[in-house]
Amino acid sequence: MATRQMPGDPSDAITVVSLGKRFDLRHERPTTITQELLGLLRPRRTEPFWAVQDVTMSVPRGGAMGVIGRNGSGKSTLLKMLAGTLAPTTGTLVVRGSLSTLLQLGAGFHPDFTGRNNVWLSAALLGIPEARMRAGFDDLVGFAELEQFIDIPIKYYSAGMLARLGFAVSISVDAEILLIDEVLGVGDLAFQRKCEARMREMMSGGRTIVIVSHDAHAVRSLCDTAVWLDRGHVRAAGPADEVVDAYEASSLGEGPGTVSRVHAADVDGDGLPDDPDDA
Amino acid sequence: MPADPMAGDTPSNQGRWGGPSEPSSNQGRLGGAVSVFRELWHYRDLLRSLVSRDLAVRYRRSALGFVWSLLNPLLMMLVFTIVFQVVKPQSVRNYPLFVLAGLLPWNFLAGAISGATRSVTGNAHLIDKVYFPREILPLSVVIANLVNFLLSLAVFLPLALLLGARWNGWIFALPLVILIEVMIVTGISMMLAALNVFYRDTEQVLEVALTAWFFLTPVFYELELLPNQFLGIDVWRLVYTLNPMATLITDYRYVMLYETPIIRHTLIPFVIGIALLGAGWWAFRRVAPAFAEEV
Ligand SMILES: Nc1ncnc2c1ncn2[C@@H]1O[C@H](COP(=O)(O)OP(=O)(O)OP(=O)(O)O)[C@@H](O)[C@H]1O
Ligand SMILES: [Mg+2]
Repeated sequence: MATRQMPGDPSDAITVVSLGKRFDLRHERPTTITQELLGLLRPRRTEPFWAVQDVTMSVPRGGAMGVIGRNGSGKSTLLKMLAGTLAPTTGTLVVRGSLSTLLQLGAGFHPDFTGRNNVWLSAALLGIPEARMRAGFDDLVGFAELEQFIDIPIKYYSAGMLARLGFAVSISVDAEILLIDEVLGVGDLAFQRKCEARMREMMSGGRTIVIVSHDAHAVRSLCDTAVWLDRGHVRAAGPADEVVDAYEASSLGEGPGTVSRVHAADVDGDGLPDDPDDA
Repeated sequence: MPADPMAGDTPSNQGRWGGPSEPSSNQGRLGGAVSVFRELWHYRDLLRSLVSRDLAVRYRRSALGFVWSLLNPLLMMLVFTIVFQVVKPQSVRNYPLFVLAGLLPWNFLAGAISGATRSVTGNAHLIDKVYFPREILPLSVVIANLVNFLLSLAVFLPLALLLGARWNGWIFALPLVILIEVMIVTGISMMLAALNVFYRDTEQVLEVALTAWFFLTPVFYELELLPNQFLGIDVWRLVYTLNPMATLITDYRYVMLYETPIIRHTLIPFVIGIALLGAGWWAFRRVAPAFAEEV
C-alpha cells in the first residue's frame, strides 16, 4: 500500500469527503482522578454528539471559501480539523500545502514580552524559522501600523492592536493556505479594509483562504464560494452570494429552534465533488 | 503558483489523518522515532523560543535575576544545616556542601516535573488553534530547568573546590549522571503533562507525591542512615533499588565532592531512566491527538 490514492482533484487546495466529528459528551464528566475513582462505582453515561457530520466539499487553489451558520453549527470544529488539531471521527481530509492560522496574540504568549518577541514566538509556533521571518519583519510591523509599539510589552496593547499584530503575523508566514476563524471584526474599519485588500492580493497570488464568519458582508465581498453549516450538516453550498442570501433569508424568517432539518449533503457544481467515491 | 521556494519547508497536514473510518489511525504519523525527531527538528525554533521565554521570565522578573535562582537552594541549605547540625548533629563531613550537592539535582527534578505537568493545560488556547508537535511543551520546560541546573552547577562546582571538595577523573562521569536524571525527568514529565489534560488534579497529587519522594531521597541525610531492619523490612535496600534518585544523588556527591568512583548500582537508575523515557514519550504521543478536545 505504498501509494494510496488521495481523494479529490489534485489541483484543489482542500478536499474534504464525508467528514464527521463526534464528541462524546459526558454529562458528569470526571475531570479529576478523584471523580474518576468515584465514577467507577456508577455506570458512565456518555452521549454521542456529532458536531460535524457528512461534510463534503473542496476549495480550489487560489479560492476563498466562507463558512457560515448559526452558533454551535460546527464551523470552528470544521476549521480545527482542517488545521490538524482535531482528529476527524469519520471521513477523509486532504490539505495540499502549508498552513497558517490566525493566532490570538497575547493569549498565547507572555504579556510581559514585547510585540517583537511575540512575533518570533508565533512564527515559530506556525513552524516558520526566525531567520525567514526576519526578512519581512519591517513590512509586517508596517502593515500592522505598530512601529511605535513593537518594542513595548503586549500587555499594554489594545485589543485591536493585538488583533492587528496577530493578523500581520499570520499573513506574513506566507503559507499556501490561510485559515481564519472570526477575528477580523476586532480591527477598526480602516484596518479591516486593509486586511480585505491583502487577502485579495494573496488569493490572486495563488493562496487559498477559508474564513469562518458571521459577517455576511465580509463573506460576500471576499469569498467566491460559501458553505452553510446547520447542526453539523452542509445545508447549502455554492457561490457565496447565493448561500449567504439563503442563510440570511432563513435566519430572518425563522424563529430560534425552528430551523428545518433539510440538508444537502452533496451539492452540484462549483468544484464541489458530488460523489465521495469518485476518488 | 505558490511562489515561495521555501514553502515546501513549512508543515502541511497533507495525509496527516488516516483515510475513511480510521479515526484514530493518526498515530500513523508517528512512524517511528526517526520521524518524531525530524518533526522536532523542524520545530527547533519553537523549542528554542519557548525555552528562552521560560528562562527570561524566570530571570527577568526580578532585579537580581539569576542570583535569585541560586539564592533559593542556598537558603534551603542554610535551613537544613541549622536544623540538622544544631538539632540533630550529623557526622557528615562538610554538611553544607553535602546538602547543596543533593538539593541542586533535586530542585531540577521537582521544578521540571511540576512545570511540565502544567505545560499542556497552560497552553490550551494554542493547542486547539495550531498544529505543532505537542511534546515541545513539556520538553521546553525540562530544557529550561536543565539550563538553570547547569548554570547553578557552574557556580557550585568552583565553590565546592574552594571549600574542600576533591576531584579525580570521576568528575568526567558527571555528564552521565546528569543524562540519566534528564531521562527520568523527561519520562515522568511527559507522562504527567498528558495525564493532567484528562485529570486536572494531577497537579495536586503530584505536589504531595513530590514531598514524599523528597523525604525518601537522601537529600539532607546520608543514604546509609536508612535502617536495614525496620519492621522486618530492609528500608535501605528498598529505597536504593526502587528510588533511582537515591542512587543518583549519591552519585552526584561521589563525583562532585568525594572522588569516589560511581557505585555499580547506577545501572538501575539508567535502566529505569530509559524505561521511563520510552514509556512517557509513547504514552504522550498516544493521547496527544485528543488534547485539543479536552483542554
Ligand atoms: N471539545 C468539545 N467537546 C465537546 N463538544 C464540543 C467540543 N468542541 C465543540 N463542541 C460542540 O460542537 C458544537 C459545534 O461547536 P463549534 O465551536 O464548531 O460551533 P461554531 O459553529 O464555531 O459556533 P460559533 O458560531 O458560536 O463560533 C457545539 O455544540 C459545541 O458544544
Ligand atoms: Mg466558532
